[in-house]
Formats: sequence, structure tokens, C-alpha cells
Amino acid sequence: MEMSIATAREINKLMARYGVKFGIYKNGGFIEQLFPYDAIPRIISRDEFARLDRGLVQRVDALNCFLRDIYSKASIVADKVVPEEFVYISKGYMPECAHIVPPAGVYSHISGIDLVQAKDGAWYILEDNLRIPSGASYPLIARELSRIAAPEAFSDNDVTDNRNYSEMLRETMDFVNRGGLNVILTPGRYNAAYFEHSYLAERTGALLVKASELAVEDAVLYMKDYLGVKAKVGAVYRRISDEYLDPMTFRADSLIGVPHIMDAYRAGNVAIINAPGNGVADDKGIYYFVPKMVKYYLDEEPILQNAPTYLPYYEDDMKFTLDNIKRLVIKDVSEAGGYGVVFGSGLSEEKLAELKATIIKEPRRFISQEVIDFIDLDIMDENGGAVPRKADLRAYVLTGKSTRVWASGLTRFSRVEGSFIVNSSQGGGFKDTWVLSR
Amino acid sequence: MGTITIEYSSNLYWLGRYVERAYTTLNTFFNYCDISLDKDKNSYKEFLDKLDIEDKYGDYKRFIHGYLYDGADCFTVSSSLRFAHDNALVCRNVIGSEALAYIQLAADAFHASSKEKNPRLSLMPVIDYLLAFWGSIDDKLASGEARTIVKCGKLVERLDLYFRFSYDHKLINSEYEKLCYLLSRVRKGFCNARHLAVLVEVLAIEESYKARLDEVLDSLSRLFEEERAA
Amino acid sequence: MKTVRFKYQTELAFSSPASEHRFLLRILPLSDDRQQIESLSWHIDPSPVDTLWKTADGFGNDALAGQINAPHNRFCFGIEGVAEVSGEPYISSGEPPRMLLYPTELTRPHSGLVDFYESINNGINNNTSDDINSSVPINALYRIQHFSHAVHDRLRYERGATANSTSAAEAFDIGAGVCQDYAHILLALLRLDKIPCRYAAGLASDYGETHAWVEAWAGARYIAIDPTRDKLADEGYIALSRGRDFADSSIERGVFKGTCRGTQTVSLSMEIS
Repeated sequence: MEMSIATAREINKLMARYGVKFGIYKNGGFIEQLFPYDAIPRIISRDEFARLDRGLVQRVDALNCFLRDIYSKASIVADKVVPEEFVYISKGYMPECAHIVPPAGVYSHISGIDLVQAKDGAWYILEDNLRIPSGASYPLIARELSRIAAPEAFSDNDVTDNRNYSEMLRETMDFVNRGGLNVILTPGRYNAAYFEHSYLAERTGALLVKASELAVEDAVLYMKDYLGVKAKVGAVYRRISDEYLDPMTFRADSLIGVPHIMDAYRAGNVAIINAPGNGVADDKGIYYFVPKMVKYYLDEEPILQNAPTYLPYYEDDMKFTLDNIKRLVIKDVSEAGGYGVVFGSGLSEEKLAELKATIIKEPRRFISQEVIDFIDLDIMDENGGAVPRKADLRAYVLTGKSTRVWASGLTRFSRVEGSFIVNSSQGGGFKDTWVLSR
Repeated sequence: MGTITIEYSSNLYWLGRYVERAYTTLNTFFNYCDISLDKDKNSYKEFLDKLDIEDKYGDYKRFIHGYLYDGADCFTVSSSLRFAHDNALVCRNVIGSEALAYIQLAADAFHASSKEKNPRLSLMPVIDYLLAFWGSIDDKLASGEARTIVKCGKLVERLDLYFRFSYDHKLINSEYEKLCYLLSRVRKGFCNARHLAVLVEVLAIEESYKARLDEVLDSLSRLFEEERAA
Repeated sequence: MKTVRFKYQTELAFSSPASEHRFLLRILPLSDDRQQIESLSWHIDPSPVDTLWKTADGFGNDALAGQINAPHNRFCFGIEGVAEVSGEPYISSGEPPRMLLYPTELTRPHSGLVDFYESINNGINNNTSDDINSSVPINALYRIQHFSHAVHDRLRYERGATANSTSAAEAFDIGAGVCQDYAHILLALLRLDKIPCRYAAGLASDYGETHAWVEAWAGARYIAIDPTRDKLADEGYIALSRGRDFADSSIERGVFKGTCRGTQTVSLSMEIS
């Protein structure tokens, strides 16, 4: 796929025109910057995507089954497939959600599944994001703008149009809507993903609101207009984490939450997207058990594999982890966004010993994984030349009436040669992801 | 049923006001630039005086640059555009990405013009983009109610500036009629009847607004204040 | 069973007016086989409130939820009623939720508490129970009481030494606290001992303010035990709400516009006849 540097510049100019930005806090201030975009797309063949599609649908269906089970009978725990402590000690487990059945029984409406492709072509799941997976708006608008700047790229290749994401999202909201408006709840203008919140609101026709614009009365959620007229809200796509969602239920000091929203939710009067309490299923410790969930709930063989993972919680895995720590990557299960990830190969002997001691002391806090030498994708340098950089893929899987995979995704790359850290919060950039239609 | 919350109504209203402030002050500024070419080098002082802005510039050249581009001073065109953008950004889902982009483009063109020798010429695209913004609002904004609120903001700001610059009564009346048309479309309780009555009274008599300028400016600025029970 | 007439009220006085006040009050006691609520009324002031509805929280407690919009300087709520209360500390129940076995933020043990647990545990193992006068498994009741004694002996009752947000570990290090801290430390110890247990907030006779104690699972039923007073619950105890810890079961939660919270006055009376 040829993309000239002139075209790349045009696309980036259009990005600036439409304010495609994300915010970061730096030195005590909030600044917004353009999300570095690379014009060379990642290309996934039709057959390869068909396999990913089946595997992702299967995985997300199993994760939804797991959430439904954990917050009701917890049979997977009773059957000793998942050890109890992994569930109840998880920060993502919300006891307040026990026995609440969300509208239509859907917990993870929007799942962001992070994958990498190894050098031999095999795909591995790195992480499930079932709380507030962000990022879909970037490839969505990038495609829109690339079609303007580089029309021949699309007339000469058979690329599946990805601009149906907003329809998929709206259908997902409509499917669980309990009667009333669809709203997107944002913490506000100074959130890192505010562009995404406002863009998705525009594209789906949902209203973008802050908590102060919503109120619960008699276990019903309302939005008040500027003259005080109330309108019922039927579905909330919230971009606020569980802890801050409702000061009456979770953190009492939250100023960005809606008091009593959990009451409206418990009464079945509003859908919350994604359901509160999902963090128990995308916990790095629970990740290990997802292939087992596929078998347990669906009685199928997992189509997509996890990266080989060890739980120091198990004696054998502890020994393996300590013996092989130099070639493993160690992840602190309580951290997110690329934080708390340590490569054994990068540590001094002294630091290694420290890490080992911490793992022995708190085995439940860590997982260790084989480092997958995932592929580099070409990105364009300042002169229009191509340089290889590590890249992953976040696939977006939407669950409403059925579970569907968006035929695109967010390909994130590291801008540092050889680095495996692709997160935007750590300076990474993104690419469009083409799924070929033929 | 309305779906515009109180925050949106405020952001839309101020979006209209700041876009209009940038647009009309730029145009008025151009007029004074023209006068200063061969008539009165100090005419800019009158311009500042009408806007109740202190002359901290001292001479015409410093005035041009300072009044346009000083981002730290909230009365400058630079600040008007920044505030317009702040309000537009939080209304993206209402006004649309396209309308927001025109504000972005106007701001970008404005800042690019600061490096040019001839601001009068290099600022012309800013006017183009601001007009394109209004075109987008008229043509694409789906919510008639939101459109009315933005345009209420625009007309309030325009009348405010026209009053201050002592524009001809006929011109003022034509803008006022536009405002009245909008007010006939807003929902009950949005427009403050008491302040509207002041405008109606003052504008009924030609030229009386100059005598009662402070009063009319005050009522205009509070036209959409919530009415409180007496 | 004895008849208990109870009356309880909390008054919050704000240093500057509060407005847009949303609240959740867990003040509606449920009946179980230790406490039968025969009659119950509640009041909230200022009255009438803008919206008020009865609800339940995620832990099965009944609660009142509502909102007062206009500025107000005081907020007052209370209950009054009659209950038949047992002198025995037992509450029958189905299997307890498994989450009651695991630490929470407020009850997570640190090494000091683990050492404390070990020393009590060694003490228990060196003694044998001589209490055979019960249908509850002797061992469980004995252990629970033993841990409660230990907490009572270890901690000094002192107001102001700790706050609502103080964890079991912190209170243990301070060495002093109030009923909430006694309960948190006992919960931490019992959970280390793999005994499911919950925090109970409610009314206790001669305490003067709302009280907190522990309900520990002893195979087929909970035992209500008060480590602050080192005794099993009797007719003088009426539970209002329960959860894993204080944060789950606090009697009042509120958010409002205003500067700060002022003073709190509690009045409480229980007549046992």
C-alpha cells in the first residue's frame, strides 16, 4: 500500500481541522494534542478477519456469560474453575451489583479486545477491556478523512467501509434502552477522551451530558432541559468509571457522578453501558481464565489464544515465574493503561531480586507472561520513508441483540524503535485498520 | 419536548455572542483602519472608547497588533475567537463537527495572519470562515431550537455593538426586528419579559436609545435571564 | 423476646446553607428472627422534601432516597417504633454471600493484624472449649467470642482517635477507636480465620449514638457480637443496616452544594420491657 507523504500531510491537516485530539495532564496543566496518526494502514485479509471475528465473538460472549454468572449464582466459582479469591479480591468486583440483572442481560456492550500478531502470524489476546474501552472514534474519523484526502486508495483496494460504527453503537444503545433518551455521560471537557465523547454523541444522535444535567427521581433517571422540563433517560453510555458513577453507592466524594443512578439501574429503569462491575472480568488476573470460560459456558474450544500466562498464585507457576523471570513480562493486575508492566530483561539484578520478593509476598497481585515478539508495521518517518515499529490492535466488539465485531479497529504503534509500549498515554500513535472485502 | 439542557443553552448563546463579537469588531476595526489611512490616525481611540476599553496601546501601530492578537486581554479579537471555540467545542454534538471546524479554521487563519505584513488582507479568510460557520448553522443544524438560541446570542451581541457604535436607528431596527422574529419562536419562559419591555419601549422612539444607552445595554444583556417572581 | 420501644434521630446542622441535597438513609430496620419490627415510622425535616422514595441498596438493606433543593441549614431524620427482640444473638439465614470472606479497603489486614491474628489463634488452639451449652457449633462460637475478647482487650475506647475513613489496620496501630474500629478489626480477624462475617450498624441501648457490631457466620446462622462491649447481642440491639464494612452500611450518605458539613447531634432511646 503506497501512501505519499503529501497525502499523509493532507490527512493530518484534516485531523487538525476537525479537532481530532486527546488531552493529557502535564506539569499540572491540561493540554490537548493531536493523536499522532500514521497514514499507512494496517491491512487484514478477509479470511484472517473472518477467523478473528469468530474468535472475538466467542470470547466476548463467554465474558458476558461470566459476568452474568458472577453477579448471580457464581457457578464457575462453585465449580472451582475460577478460584474464589480471584473474583472477590478483584478491584473490579462490585458487590453492590450482585443480583442486578442489566437490561437484556447484557453486561459488556462495548468490548475493546487488545490483540497482537506474532512474527509467525498467530494472533494472541493481550487484554480485554470491558469497562470503558476508548479509541474507536479515531479510526472512524481517520477513515472519513482519508477517503477525502486519498480517494484512490479506496477505489483501488477493496476495503470494507468501517463508517457503520456509529450505527452499530446506536443499535447497541437502542437495544437495551428502557424507554427514553440515549445519553453519553462525560466527566467533561477536561477528560482525555473528550473528543471521542462529543464525536460519538454527534454521530449516534445521543445527547452528551455531564452529571449535573441529570437527576434521579423516584428511581427514574431524567435529563432536565433549559426551561426545567424533564425527559426520561433510557440508556446511559457512561464514560465515567464505576468508582465515580454514583456517590450514593460508590465513592462518596465523587463530583462527576449522578447520585442515585444505581437505584434507577437496579429498578430496571435505565441501562448503563457498560454495566457497572465489569472490571471483575477484565482484571489481568481473571484474564488467565478466559479460555477456560469459553469451555465452561459455551462448551467450545477457544479460537483465539491468550499470550502464555502464568499465575504465581499457583505453586508451579510461581516456580516457573521466579526461574524464568528474566525473559518474562510481569504485570501488576491492579494497574491499567500500560502502567505496572515490567520486562524482566530490562531489570538489574538488584531490581529483579526486589521484584521476586514482592511476587513471593503478594502472589495474587501479579501475572507473568511470555514476551510475544509481535510484528512491526511500517510507519512513515518525517521524510516519507518507512520504518518498522511495534503495533497492536484493539478490536471493538459490540453486543446487543447479537455480538458483532467492527470490521476495523484501532492499530496503535510505539513511536520508539523496539519498544512494546503502544499506549497513547505513553506517546504512541495510531493507524487506520483496513479489513479487505475480497 | 426539549433536549437542550441549561448548560447547552448557555454554551449555544455565548457561542453566538462570541462569534458575532469577533466578526463585528473585526469589521468595525477594518472601518477604523480605513479612516486612519488618510484621515485621522487617532480614530482608533474612539473605537476603544465606544467599547469601554482603556487605551493602553498609545499609538495606532501598537493598537492594531495588541487589540487583535493579545490573548491575555479578554477584550481582544483573539480572546473572542478563543471563547467562541471553547463554547463551540462543548457543543460539537449539537452544532456538528463541520460548524465547529469553521471556528477552528477561523482561529487558525487568525493566528496565521499575525505573522503577515498586511493584517487587513490576511484577516479576510477569518471573515470568510465565520460566515461559513453561520451558513453551516443555518443549513445543517438539525435542532431548530438550538439554532434559535445561537442566533439569539448573535443578535444580542450585534445590537450591543451597534448601540455602542451609535449605529443608525434604521440599521438597528432591522436587527431588532430579526431578534423579535426569533423571540416569537422561543418557548415561554426563555425570554425575560421585563427586559424585553425596556427594549420595546426605548426602540419605539427614534434616537432615544442614545439617551438611554446604559439602560438599554443592561436590559439587552439580561434578556435571557431567568424571570424571578417579584 | 422482649418488647423494645425505640426512638432515634440525627440532626445535621450546616455551617452554611446546603442546597440540591441528595441523600440516602439506611434507617429502616428489617425483621429477622432476632428482631421482629412490629411498627415503624420515620420522619425527615425540612419537610416536605422535593422527592423521596423507598429503595433498597445493593446489600439488601431498605433505605430512603431523596432530594431537598432549597437551601437549608439543618437536616434531620429519625425513626420511631416497636420491636420484639430476642435475648439470644442468633439470626438464621441461608448461606452467606462468599464476598463476606474477603477483606475490603477498610478491613484489609496488614502484617500487624496478621501477627495479632496468629497470636490469638495459637491461644485458642492451646485451650479447649468448655462451653457446651449451645446448638451453634461450639468451636465456631468459641472462636468468634475469643477474637472479640482479644479485640476488646487490645483496643482503648476513645472518641476522636479515629475517623470514619480509618481502616482496621490504622485503628490497630493507633490502639484506640470507637465501635466502628472495634468492628472493623474483628471483621479483619474473622476473615483471616475464614469465618464469613458482616458489619452491622444500628441502635444499642445506653450508647447514646448509633452503634456498630459484627454478625459472624457460625454454620446455619449468624451470631451478633459486640466487640466494643465484649458481649453477645441481646434485647438492647436493633440492626438498621448491614454490609461488608462501614462504607457499605453507613446510616446516612449525602451530597449537596455548600461549603462544609457542620455538627451532628444524635438522640436515641430504647425502652426494654
